This record gives sequence, structure tokens and C-alpha cells, in this order.
Amino acid sequence: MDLVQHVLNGLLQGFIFAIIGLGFSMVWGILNIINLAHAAFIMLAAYLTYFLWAGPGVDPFVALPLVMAALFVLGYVIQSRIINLVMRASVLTTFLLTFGMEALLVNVALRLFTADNRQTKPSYANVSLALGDLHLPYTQLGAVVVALVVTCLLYLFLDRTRTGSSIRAVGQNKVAASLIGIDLGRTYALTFAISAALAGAAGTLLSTTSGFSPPSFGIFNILAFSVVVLGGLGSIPGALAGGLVFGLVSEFAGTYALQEREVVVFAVLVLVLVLRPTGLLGREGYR
Amino acid sequence: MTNLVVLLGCLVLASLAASARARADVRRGAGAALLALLLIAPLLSDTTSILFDALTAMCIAYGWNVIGGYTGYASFGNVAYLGLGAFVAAGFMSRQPGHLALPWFVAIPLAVGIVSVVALAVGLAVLRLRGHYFSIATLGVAIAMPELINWDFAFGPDGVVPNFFGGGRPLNFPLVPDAQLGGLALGADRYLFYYLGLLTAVVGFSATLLLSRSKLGYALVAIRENEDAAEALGINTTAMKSLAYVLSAALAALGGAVVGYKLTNMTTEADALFSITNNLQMIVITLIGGPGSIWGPAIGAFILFAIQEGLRSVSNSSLFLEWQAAVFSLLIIVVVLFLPRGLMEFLRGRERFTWRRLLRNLTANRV
Repeated sequence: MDLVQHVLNGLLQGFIFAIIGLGFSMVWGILNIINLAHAAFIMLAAYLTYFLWAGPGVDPFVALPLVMAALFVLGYVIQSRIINLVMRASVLTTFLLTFGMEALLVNVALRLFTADNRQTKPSYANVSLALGDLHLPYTQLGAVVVALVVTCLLYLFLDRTRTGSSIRAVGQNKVAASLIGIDLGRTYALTFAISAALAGAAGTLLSTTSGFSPPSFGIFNILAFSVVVLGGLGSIPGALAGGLVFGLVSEFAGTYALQEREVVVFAVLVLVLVLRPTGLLGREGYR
Repeated sequence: MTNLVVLLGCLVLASLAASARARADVRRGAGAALLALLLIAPLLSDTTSILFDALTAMCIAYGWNVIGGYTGYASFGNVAYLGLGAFVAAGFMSRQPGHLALPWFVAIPLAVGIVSVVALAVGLAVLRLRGHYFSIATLGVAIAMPELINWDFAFGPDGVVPNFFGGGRPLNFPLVPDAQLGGLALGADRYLFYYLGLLTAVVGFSATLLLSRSKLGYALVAIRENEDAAEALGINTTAMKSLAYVLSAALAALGGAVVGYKLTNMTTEADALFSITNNLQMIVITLIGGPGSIWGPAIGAFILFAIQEGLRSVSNSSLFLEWQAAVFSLLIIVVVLFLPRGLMEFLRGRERFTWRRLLRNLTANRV
């Protein structure tokens, strides 16, 4: 029974990892940028949710759309005002730029919010749905629902709308896309903004499921990268699968192997990179 | 105040030595004068702490310059080798039972050698990866290394090398007594550590100078410009990148070991050695000076520490330390946007420094 509980815990956690990977994967696949500030966006969202709850007492699941909207705007501004300036420079440039943003956001947060451990704890935070011997925390279940809804909406947006098609077109061929009249700068900004909004959703969910402080988010860049590599770049089902696998890995590593999940996550990443660099479900294009 | 003057003097001399517009004999003279100024610096100033910091940081930045500048591979994990170098050197030099108590001139080169072997092993795994994949893997190295040092299986009481990194007890470098020379007390901080720091900077500079004129250096630049073309020309890119990675780690370990030696207590300073500030510092220095150049890290280090010394003298130093990492990261953003080739851009070519030039850099790679 213990084993089943661990599997469940890992899967529940995995849905949050999946939306982290999804946002990261969009920016990587379409803009060809590894956004090292992704973890900092998650951190900002977690603190925003926490302060909305601790101050005016807004329920985290009510705050979720507000946080996502705030992060969407932030992402749009950062891409259209700053990163768009270096889109034709080498990969090293965007790497260093987002690395600088990440370090700036985390260190400013560390000064403003201190390194105290915080957690958003609404009244139902420590209550679980009991199924026999199994316990499913309500916040975790809510996270799964949110993750599934967000993923479906993203899929429909990319697949069915004109704007979504233009994003996919830019991902496939930038030159051709701009030739048929797609505004590259605007599309980049929109993609980055959606990715930031997804990070926002993940941050809100994470702030309810575990305690956090600014440095505790650093691991999520590597995690997001691993999820994407594992699932394959440019694949929504891949990101979902990668997230679930990493949820399980991290749960079992935390329980049986080491107290330090980081090393295990890293070891799995190296294994995946060496054995299967295209990912489990990797294909061309963005689906 | 003296230190600020010395740092600015070094900056002027280094810029002159690097300038393409100066005559060859002027450049050589400026280089010699720079070395002379650094050699007599402890006689001019009664505390050489900030100069020591600048010189060791320069050595570490020269290390980052090899992989990040010449090869064009952003490594975010060099801080791991910096810390590891300090810990391994301490493990050899500690006078605690179970340690070898080697003298520094044996222990530090040995530590650099061991870190190089570790870096080679890591490099062979991560350097099969290109661009994005490589950089993320190095980010993992930075996170994993502090955990590795506390790994019971290898370094615990019953580990493979029992208690090499202290194993629960504090790990210390031996204290250095002040030397006596004809009745004159020579403070260890002021003299011994300063000259050790100078030595690391000279090693970093010389290694880069040799590299830039060697076949390896040209191969690395070729990889940076176009890895597929380099491979097509018959360059063994994996081997070359591995060598660059090892050299980069070795310089980080050298600087780290000397920094650790001065800090003395590894157990309490572990967080400081593996800190994000150290990681940012080597990148900032290289970027400000000019990545992929011989004088870039030297110029970057003199500027960064002159700014720090200036700020420290006008503001309260604890406030400064708290915001240091934030300032470094902001500097990275600003330099990447406005000065992607560093200050060397204005020293190496015909370009003169103008504000318009900075704005042109900002918009050069717009969508």
C-alpha cells in the first residue's frame, strides 16, 4: 500500500512538473531560447499567491487566474522590450541574458522577502481525501485539475486558433512565417507571455503544496529542462509524460535513495541526455 | 584609498597593453609596468585584501574565458570546481589526524590536478552535448558538487577516502604565521597570500596567452564560430572541447584553492565558496572585459574591483555585501545588451567609444 501511495504522490507532483515543462518547452521550441528565468517566474508567482492569501485572504485557486494574468503581462513586457533585442545574436547571448535575469529576480526577492520558509495554507491545506489507506491531499488534487485544464486549453489554442497557428508557423520556419505577414516580434512576445503564465500557474500550485524560499526554486530550471528532454521538444503529450516520470523519480528518490533529490534529478537528466537525446516522444514541429 | 589608485593604475596599464592603437614597444612597456606595479603593491598599501580578491577572481575568470569566451560554451558550473579545488587542497594540507599535512606548493598543484581529472570525467559526459544541453548540464554540476562533498559513501567515516573533507569535524587549512625578515614582521595576509594571488593571476594570463597562440586555441575559436564546419575541417571537436573544459576547471580550482587557503576554515566557508556570487563574478568579469580575449578578464577584474572599492568607501559595507549578487546580475544584463564584446571592442579595433556605438550594439540583433 505504501508503494501505491508513493506512486500516487509522484503522479500528483508530476502534473505540476508537467506545466513547468510545458511553458519551458514552448519558449525553447519556438524562440530557441533556454529561459533560465523560468524558475524565477515560478518564484514570483508563488510569492504573489502567498501575499494575496496572507494579506487580503484571497484563496489560491481564486488567485490563480490573476497570478497567471500578471505573469502573462510581465512575460510580454520582458520579451518585447528586452529579449527581442538579442533574438538574432548567438545562443550564448540569450543564455547569459536570462541567467542574469534569473539571478537578479532571485537575489532581489531574497532581500525583499527574506529567506524565510513560507507556504500558502488555506483552510483545506492539510486535509486529504481518504480512499481506504490512500491519502490524496485536496490541494494536490486541485493542482491536477488545473494542470489538465491548462494543458487542454493550450492545446486547443495552438491547434484551433489563428494566433495559435501563427505561433506554430514561427516555430517551424521563421523566415517563411515573416514572409506571409506574421509579426515575429509580437509572436515571440506572445509565446513568451504564455510560457510565463504557465510558470505562474505552476508557482501558485507549488506555493500550496510545499514550503518555499527564493533559492528553493533554482532546481526547477533543471527539472523543466529534464522534463522537456525526456518528453521530447515540441510535444505537449511529451511534456505531460516527462512531468509524470519526473514526479515519480523525485518522489522515489526523496523516499528511498537520498535526502537530496537534486542529485538524482541531475543523474536522470545525464542518463537521458546520453541515452536518448531526442527524448521519449520527440518529433519535429510543435504539437 | 591607495588600493583604489593601484586598481585604477592597473586598469590604465592593462588597457594600454591591450590597445591595438598603441605601438608594440609601448604595449610591452605597459605590460611590464603593470607587473612591476602589482609586485610592489603590498609596499604601497597596508591592506592588500581587495587586490588579492581581484587577482584570484581574475584567475578564475580566465578559466571561464577559456570555455565561455574562446569556445563559446556558457558554463554555469565552474563555481563547482572553484569550491572543489579549495576542499581538495584543504584535505591535503590539513594538520588534523588522517590528513597528509602537505605544504601548499605540493598540495595546491595536486588539488588542481585532481580537479582536472574530475572535470575530464564530467566533461566527457556533458561535452557530447551541444549549446543548450551543455549549459544546463553544467548548471546541474554546480548544484550537485556541494552534495558530492558531503557524500557519505565516498568521504564519510567508512567511505572510500575516510573523512577527507572533514567528515563531521571541521576541515581547516593550517594557519600561516607572520614571517620574520631581519626584525621586520611580514603579515601573511599582506604578503604571502597577496603574492600567491598574484601568482594565480599570472598563471591564468600566461595560460590564456599560450592558448590563444596554439592550435588548440584556434580550434576552440573555430568551434565557437561554427561547430559543424570545424568538425568538417577535421577538428576533433569533442577532444578539443574537453581540453578547454579541463583547462577552465583547472584555473577555477587554482584560484579557489588559494582563496580557500586564505579563508582557512572550509566547514564554515563552504557556502561562500560555492555561492552564486562567485559564479556570477567570473562571468561578469569576463563579459565586461571582453570574452575570448587575452586581456579581457584582467581589464574586467580591475574595473569590477575598482567599482567595488569605490562603492565600499562611500557606502556602508554590509549594505553593499547584501546587494552584491543583485548588482552583479544587473551588470550581466546591461553588459550583454550594450557591450556584447566587452570593453575590448574599443581597445582592439578602430572603434572609438561613443554612446551612439552602445545604442547601435543594443539594436544590432533586434528581431
